[in-house]
Amino acid sequence: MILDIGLLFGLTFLSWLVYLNGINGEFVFDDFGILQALEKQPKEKVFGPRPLPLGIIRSTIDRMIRQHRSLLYATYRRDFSIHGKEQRRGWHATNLNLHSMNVCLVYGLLRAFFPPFSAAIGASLFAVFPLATSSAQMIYGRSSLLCGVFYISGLICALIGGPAWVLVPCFFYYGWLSKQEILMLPVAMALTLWIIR
Amino acid sequence: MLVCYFSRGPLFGVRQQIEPDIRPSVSRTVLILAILVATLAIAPFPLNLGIVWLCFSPPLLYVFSTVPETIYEHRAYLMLLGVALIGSWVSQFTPVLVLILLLLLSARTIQRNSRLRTENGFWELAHEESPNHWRPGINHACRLELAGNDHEALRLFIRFMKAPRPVDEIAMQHICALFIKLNQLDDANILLGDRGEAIMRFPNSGAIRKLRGAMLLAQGKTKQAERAFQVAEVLG
Repeated sequence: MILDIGLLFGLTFLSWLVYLNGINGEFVFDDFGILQALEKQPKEKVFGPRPLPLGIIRSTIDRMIRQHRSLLYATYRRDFSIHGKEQRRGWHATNLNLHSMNVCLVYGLLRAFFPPFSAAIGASLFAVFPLATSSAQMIYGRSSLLCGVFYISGLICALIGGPAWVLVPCFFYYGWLSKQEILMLPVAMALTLWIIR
Repeated sequence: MLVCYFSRGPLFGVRQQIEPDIRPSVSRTVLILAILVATLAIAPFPLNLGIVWLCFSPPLLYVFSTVPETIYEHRAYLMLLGVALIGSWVSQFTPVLVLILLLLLSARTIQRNSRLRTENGFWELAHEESPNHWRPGINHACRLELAGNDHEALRLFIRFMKAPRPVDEIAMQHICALFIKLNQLDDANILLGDRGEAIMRFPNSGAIRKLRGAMLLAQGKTKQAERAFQVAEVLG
């Protein structure tokens, strides 16, 4: 247990270390769209598609669509109210915290199959892999980071089984409030359980 | 995922920046599926689980998307679960090799961060990693022009003169504007003259007509310039 906690601290440190040189990075590309929308309507939900006319199931679908990404934009609004447009460091720090959280969750997931050091090496790969740069570095990439928290948590619950299954719908719901990529969670869970059966 | 946008280097984390123009290839799909099925059949546990997490991850959703949307590498973030699991498995046999890989990847990430932390660096890297795609290229050229690097921007815009609509028109407008700005009026005349390429290709473009007016004004042909501005106004 102490070893696990020590490794988790090490992984968090590593996640921050590799992204430290981008902590003051400029806003780029889609980040400006987010900022503009927040400036226009800082208090309300300003994103997301319009509700669809779908007859009987309309209310449910409407609600889902309206709430889509609302958690993500809540984090943007929080950063906007605290840091404004000038202090980019705060925006990037939120991203890095989410990335570190994901790295720790990946460690927990891998511990189901591997001893601590092998799991830590796998989680380190997740932490430093260059493919994660866009998510961890760019503000608009936060959607994938936030969705990842719920996606990986859902997978961990599926592996634990038993009463932990109760949490899976909650993680799916909050994942939906972050990004549509959570739709792959049931597929990933089913395939995982089929392989480890 | 592998077929559509991420087939050219997910292991190295490059060439992923922006790939909006790649269409799924049927032959490549069949080949990758065959390799995947064969690998899954012979791979031991938990390597097969790693392969499944690598392939059946959120980026798979975008393979079915036909919307001509710009795709970013952040959508492949959760694909890394598979990489992590495979890495853990390999580290049980060759930990030194995986640690070396870890160091190399860390260096690569730090290098990418330092470039991606600015808007100019972002588009420069995007263009570098997807040299045959017009979107990162044209955005990179616009950034160069904004930064005052006119000659480099001009060189890039010329490459996109034959790109699909509306990029060709945008590129042409920038080229003409840069020729006028750099006082290369002979070159501008080839594009904006009476039977100039820009005028012939985009006869209804108000912006091109306005640029023609600016060129004529720079050439001292005031009356003709006035007429060109009037046409530009009519065309909007």
